[in-house]
Amino acid sequence: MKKYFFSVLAVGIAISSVAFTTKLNQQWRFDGTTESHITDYTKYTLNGTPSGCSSLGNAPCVISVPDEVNTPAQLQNFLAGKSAAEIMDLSAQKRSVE
Amino acid sequence: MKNAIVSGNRPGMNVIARMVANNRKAIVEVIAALFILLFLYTALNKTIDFRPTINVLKTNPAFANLAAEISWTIVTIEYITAVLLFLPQTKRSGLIVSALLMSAFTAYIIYMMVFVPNLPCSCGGVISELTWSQHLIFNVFFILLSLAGIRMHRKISASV
Repeated sequence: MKKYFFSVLAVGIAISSVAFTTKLNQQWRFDGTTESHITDYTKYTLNGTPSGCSSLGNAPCVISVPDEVNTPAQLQNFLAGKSAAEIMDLSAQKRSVE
Repeated sequence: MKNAIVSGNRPGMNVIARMVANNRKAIVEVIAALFILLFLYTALNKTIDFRPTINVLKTNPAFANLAAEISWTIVTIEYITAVLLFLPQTKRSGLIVSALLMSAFTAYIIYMMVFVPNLPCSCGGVISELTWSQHLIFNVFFILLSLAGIRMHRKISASV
């Protein structure tokens, strides 16, 4: 049993970490072409493949939202009242628009 | 240098070398455990939510058509590697596969950093707080760790 100690410990830590840290998110890709589109829920595609994104830009690339926000209507509710800057913070990477 | 260490000309290093030699088995166990933690954590995360992994692969034309298949293959290999590392009889094989796997991941990161102008985000992906450069350093560290583990395991087997 001693020779399995570290391995069993690693398995336990891995499973516990995943159980307590993994949260499902929905990913909405921003398809807008101007900054004014950032707050427009119709300019987002659910699980859209990101492209042309990097660490710099004035628009979000793919925003991560709670798992239950999986329809346009729910996205509209979720984005309601949020500023463009707050929505940008939901995206790890950015892209450039006009 | 080895003679200098053994002869005691560098007493500090002599102590470290003796500690490593006396605890080789434990060190190999710890290295194997670190890799089990790494591969099991990432594999479980990907199993729960594949989308970030597939999204990153799809941004590269070379992998776009087989993104899902590649994701499943990688996850399967990670689970198998974790099992190989867990069992004492296959620990050495597990360390070798770990080194190869980390080398493949590192090659992918270098390829993406050199040839892809706008790096995709791994939004929501595992260890997503790391930048691509940080990931590269992380991977190189683990490659070196696996090589150290393989070397120490060989010395343990030779001394038995």
